[in-house]
Amino acid sequence: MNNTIINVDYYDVAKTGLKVVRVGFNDEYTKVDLGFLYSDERENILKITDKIYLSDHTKKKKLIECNGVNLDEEIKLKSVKDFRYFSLKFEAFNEQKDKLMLVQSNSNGTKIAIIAIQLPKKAE
Amino acid sequence: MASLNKQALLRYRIIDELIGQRNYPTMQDIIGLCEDRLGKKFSKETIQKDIEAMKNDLSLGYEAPIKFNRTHRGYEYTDKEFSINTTNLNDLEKEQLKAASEILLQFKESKLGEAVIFNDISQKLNIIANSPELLYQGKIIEFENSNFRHYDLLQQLYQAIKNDKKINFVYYCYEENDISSYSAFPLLLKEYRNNWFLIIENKFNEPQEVNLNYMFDVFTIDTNDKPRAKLDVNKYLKHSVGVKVNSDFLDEVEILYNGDIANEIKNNPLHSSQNIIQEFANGDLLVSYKLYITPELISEILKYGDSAFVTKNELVQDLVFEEISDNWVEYRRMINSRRR
Repeated sequence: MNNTIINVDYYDVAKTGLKVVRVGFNDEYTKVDLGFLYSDERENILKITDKIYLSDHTKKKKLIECNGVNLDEEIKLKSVKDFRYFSLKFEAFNEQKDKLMLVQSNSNGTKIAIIAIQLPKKAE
Repeated sequence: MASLNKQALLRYRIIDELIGQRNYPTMQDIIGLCEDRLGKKFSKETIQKDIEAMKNDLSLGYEAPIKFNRTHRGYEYTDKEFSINTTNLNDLEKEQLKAASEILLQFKESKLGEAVIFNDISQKLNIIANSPELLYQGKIIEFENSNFRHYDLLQQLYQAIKNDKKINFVYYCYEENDISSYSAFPLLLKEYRNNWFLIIENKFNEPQEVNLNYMFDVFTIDTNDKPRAKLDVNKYLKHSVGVKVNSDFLDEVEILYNGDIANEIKNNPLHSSQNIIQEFANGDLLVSYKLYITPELISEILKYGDSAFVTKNELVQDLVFEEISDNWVEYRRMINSRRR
């Protein structure tokens, strides 16, 4: 599979405050670039744990690396001009996907979809 | 690369002078003259390294055709006309190069210079100008320090522009509190008030500025795409104050400056279109401009406080008023409460 980068150009921000900005597929990993944005209507706190995984609704891919965020770090946005950009690398899918789900189990074991990813067809 | 210091440069000149005399100088001749002229001892290895550098160090730019002539048992230039000093520069040009070199040295000492384009250029200019004396001399000019953090990014973008490469990047838009990814052709890097900006060709084939402080994860894309039309960014920028690139129509703005700052305005125009309409007896100055109305223009006007008054252009008057009125109300409230 070629290295494929997809710019995600929809404006939706998930209830968690996350926005997917870019997804990359290649033979080694699937990389999801995310922005965490402030809103008056949200808690503005986020914690990424090793329980996070990427799903295409049939297979689960484990987290292999994160950049711009540490596992179990509590990110707390303070103002409307505060934000965090970070990337998560997961095990590779064998092919490019157009629907993905980022899921994380919380402390009591329940799974929370932290963002659904709908990808456009056009890649770079 | 050879250690390019003042001593080495002086030795290169001595070696060049000796070989250029076509008397087939020996190693001992060269060592002797270097020691006489420079007043210190030099080993055979040092001079051998010098000759090697003059021949093969591409960063020096000499590529001197030096050969040991076995018949005459001395060194020669195989090209008899060669000299490291054959630059045909007159004294004025040499002085200009020295000045350029000193300016570049300022950047070289910063992280920016380290990262980008200036690496070694200033020293090469010194070689061309045949003036190693300038090296390690005290500063004559000092620029504002560019407190720039993303020097690797600057280098990456510089290469992308130079090679017409498309880039992909993530960008946080501060005004809209939004983050997105983009693919675009980078066109120009511009520094403004110690911040670096990149002008890109956006998807509407228009120039658009992005602040390097808010760019993340930049990489070049292998694509056959080319910029749809090589935009003349300078054409847009020349009508702007700052880096906002705006392709709307030009506006005419008139400002009355207080006499206290009139000279500053004359010597340091707010914009290249500045035209003095009238100088009043009390020193006040009425000036007109033809430019795009940008946020930076409003900031520049506000910078002068009550010493600058916009006499013509309703939009600029509104924007300046908006900026000062909020604070004015707050100051008034605080002053009143203090007086009570």
